[in-house]
Amino acid sequence: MERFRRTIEVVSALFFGLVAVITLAAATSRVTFSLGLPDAYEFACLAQGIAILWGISIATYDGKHVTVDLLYEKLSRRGRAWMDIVAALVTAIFLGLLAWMTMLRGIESLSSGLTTNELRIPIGPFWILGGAGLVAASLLGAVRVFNLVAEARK
Amino acid sequence: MTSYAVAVGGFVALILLMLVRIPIGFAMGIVGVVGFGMIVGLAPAMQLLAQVPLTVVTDYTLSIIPMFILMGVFASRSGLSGELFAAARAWVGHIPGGLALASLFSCAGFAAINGSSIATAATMTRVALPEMEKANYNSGLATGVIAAGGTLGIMIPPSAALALYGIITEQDISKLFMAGVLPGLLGVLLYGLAIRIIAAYRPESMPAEPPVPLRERLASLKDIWAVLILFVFVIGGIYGGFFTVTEASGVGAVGTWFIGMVRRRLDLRKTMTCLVEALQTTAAIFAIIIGAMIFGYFLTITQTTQNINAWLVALPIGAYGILFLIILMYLILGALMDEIAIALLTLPIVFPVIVGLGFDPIWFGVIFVMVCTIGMIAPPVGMNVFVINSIAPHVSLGRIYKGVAPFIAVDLFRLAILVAFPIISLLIPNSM
Repeated sequence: MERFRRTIEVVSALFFGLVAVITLAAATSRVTFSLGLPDAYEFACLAQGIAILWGISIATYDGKHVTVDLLYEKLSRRGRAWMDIVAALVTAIFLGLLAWMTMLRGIESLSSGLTTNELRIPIGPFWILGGAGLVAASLLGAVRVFNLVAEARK
Repeated sequence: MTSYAVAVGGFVALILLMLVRIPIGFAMGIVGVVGFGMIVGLAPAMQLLAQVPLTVVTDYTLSIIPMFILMGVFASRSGLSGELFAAARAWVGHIPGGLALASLFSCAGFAAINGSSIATAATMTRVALPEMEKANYNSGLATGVIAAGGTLGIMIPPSAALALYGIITEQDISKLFMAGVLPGLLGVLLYGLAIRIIAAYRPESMPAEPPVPLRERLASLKDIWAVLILFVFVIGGIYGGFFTVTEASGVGAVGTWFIGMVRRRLDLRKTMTCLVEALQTTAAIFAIIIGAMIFGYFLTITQTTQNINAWLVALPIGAYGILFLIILMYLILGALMDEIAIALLTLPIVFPVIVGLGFDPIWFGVIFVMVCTIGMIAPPVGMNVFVINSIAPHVSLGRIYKGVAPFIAVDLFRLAILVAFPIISLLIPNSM
């Protein structure tokens, strides 16, 4: 599991870095040579989307999302464990729904023939790759629930 | 069920879900989609889930937030914050409260190449706290200074919070950045005064260091070239018309990485660590944005925005009375919630009221961020305080809150000044 998580982390981080590199390349080429890189803007957007949707899976697994801890801090250790489980379960279910609908939209865009503006590269596969990040998020969310239940039973 | 009842039920459900520690973004998303479904139907509600995530994460305008976060992480890991602190220490360390002032000035310097309050506080805790503790500083006051100084990260440009405000309210982000300069410097001045007063009344809590010869002081300045170059490159690039704000964020991130690599402070392994760290923060922020967008559809369909707007405007307390109420609401929310969630949840409701009352939208951006900065350090949920406590667990939360209390008072005073004198915020943007 840790290896799977690490692979997701590295790939999504590389896509994240790609956003910065594409932005730099596009800005430099425009400022220096008055040349626009074809579809740079769209590729930066797609790389950002893929990075963030996969990044959400890591943040979910690691429990790094922003939460309100007012009530949580007042609870006993057992109470906290149960609250963690409930929150993780609801999160995993919501992410599952989100993943399902996002994948459907990605598949729809394949058949609709949506492409980038200049190079006419199909966008659908990129969206599906992003949607797969949410599928991973819901699966990792479910793994987190099992881990938390196992921990609570100890 | 009427739209009104669904809206009230939605807000109650949102609070309950957040209280049971469901991540804020997902809580907003769940309530948004269920509430929207109750009014419009299941199929359109499910369509929101299909459309919103992809639209949000591929929005190029929003890339300004992750790129400035990445720039801050690279700057932090490259040791730029340490150099700022060393330079400030050489110049002011010898006066009572000098190390606290050095921490404050380096927070301000670091804020100029980093758009995040939390990143500034986290970085300076690692750099400045051990030095202040070594010099026998009161640990509560030392952490208090860092927590307060960290808030300069979201006022002094570049600022992720001002950028987000600009995106939500469709205001010029470059003007907003300039509007934050004088309020940020005012913060440095007032925090500095507070430190000097505390040092005067409680000298044992902030002892002075031996003075540093002028030659060493001057030598310390040569190490901060990287920060100056980055600031001029990014901010100068925006105002010189070379880059858009979004481009500047990406260029700044790569520029910071490049400087780190050239100076051998970063390698490929550390680069990957930085990318992962920035991505995790970004993913958590975008989860909130996705949820808030879905919740926004729910607010629109229930006409909550218009209803609250109409109710507020009709209150017989005048424009400043309403402004006072709004600021009070933000102070309470800021002490309970993350500033990004607050911005996304409330600005679509509050902003039209503010504009309708005749207040300047750029000025209100500064006021909004100012109130958020207070929320970052005020109990019970001061994010900067939590971050410092997670890095320095030997200083209890209570002690940090005690140490930050004088600076909360200073911030309330600064807020009053900024409300009373909008020119402080508007002078630079209006002269552009």
